[in-house]
Amino acid sequence: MTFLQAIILAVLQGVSELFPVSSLGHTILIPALLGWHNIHRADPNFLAFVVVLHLGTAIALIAFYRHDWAKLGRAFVASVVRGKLSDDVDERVAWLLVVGTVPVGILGLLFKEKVSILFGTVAPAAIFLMINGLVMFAGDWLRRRQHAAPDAAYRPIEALTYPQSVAVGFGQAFALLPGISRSGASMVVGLLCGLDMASAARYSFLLATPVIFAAAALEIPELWAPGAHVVAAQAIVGAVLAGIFAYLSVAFLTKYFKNHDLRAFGWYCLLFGALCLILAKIGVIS
Amino acid sequence: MKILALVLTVVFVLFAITAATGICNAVPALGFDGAHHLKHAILYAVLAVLSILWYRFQANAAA
Repeated sequence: MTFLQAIILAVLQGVSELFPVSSLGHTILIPALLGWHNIHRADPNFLAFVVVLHLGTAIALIAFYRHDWAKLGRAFVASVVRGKLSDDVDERVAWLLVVGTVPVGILGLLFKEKVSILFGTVAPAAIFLMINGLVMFAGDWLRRRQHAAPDAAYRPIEALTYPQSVAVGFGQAFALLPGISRSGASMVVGLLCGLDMASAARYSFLLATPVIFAAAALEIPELWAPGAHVVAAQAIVGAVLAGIFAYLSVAFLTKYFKNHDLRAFGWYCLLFGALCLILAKIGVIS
Repeated sequence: MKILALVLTVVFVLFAITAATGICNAVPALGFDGAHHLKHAILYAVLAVLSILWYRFQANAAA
């Protein structure tokens, strides 16, 4: 991997991890489009580099929501020490996040590698990206239909039930499929559970943080795997860039979703996925 | 619910031990293929801790 490739991959990871467009899908499609045949996803070097990028992204998310995480962490510890749940809003949100993280934790560990082997090529990633676009449209349409009535009110995050949080967690687990966005899927399920767009996005980003961090932390041994020789300069620059772009992305998206919906990302996923699929079918990319 | 939480705790503790030690060859998908699976063991241990917390919340709520 060249230094330029490392920089492009880091920026791509930082942006696409949080935009509802699938980072996994983009790390398959963009290298294929750019003709980077020297990058192999199963290569220990590449896996180790991806671990570093994910750590950068997770740290950026924690930094952006540092006040929320401090409050949620305190509330979580207080409830554990007390051995009883109170009516505190932060405590409830903390436990909703814990419960919502369980499905993706289990499914991710059990099926991530198998799914990656089965679908980790251009054509499936392009098809799933198009499906992701359709999910964005469907979610937005259902949300507008649910709230067509003048008295229909949106719910705050703490009004979610635990089964609903598990459902959002399952939505997140669909991101194991390259092309399906973690944040997009969890936002759509959040919208269907009655959250408004900004709250669904916030809950999705909060829910993604422990998953991205834990996934990266569990893969840290890959950095010392036989055959993994990540260049320190590439790793450091990559992690910093991924973190900076992840921070800027989440700052942009939290403002964007106050006034906009998912349709722009739906169009992007449909068109980009269709383009990649056509190019793969006529043999231009592979 | 208390009973379910307790059963889940025991099950996840057994799963964590099984995955960590590799003493079982059944159900490779769950990390039981005779090899040591640290990541699976950590996941099951976390689930066991969450289950015991759930049990404690249920017990204290009932008291």
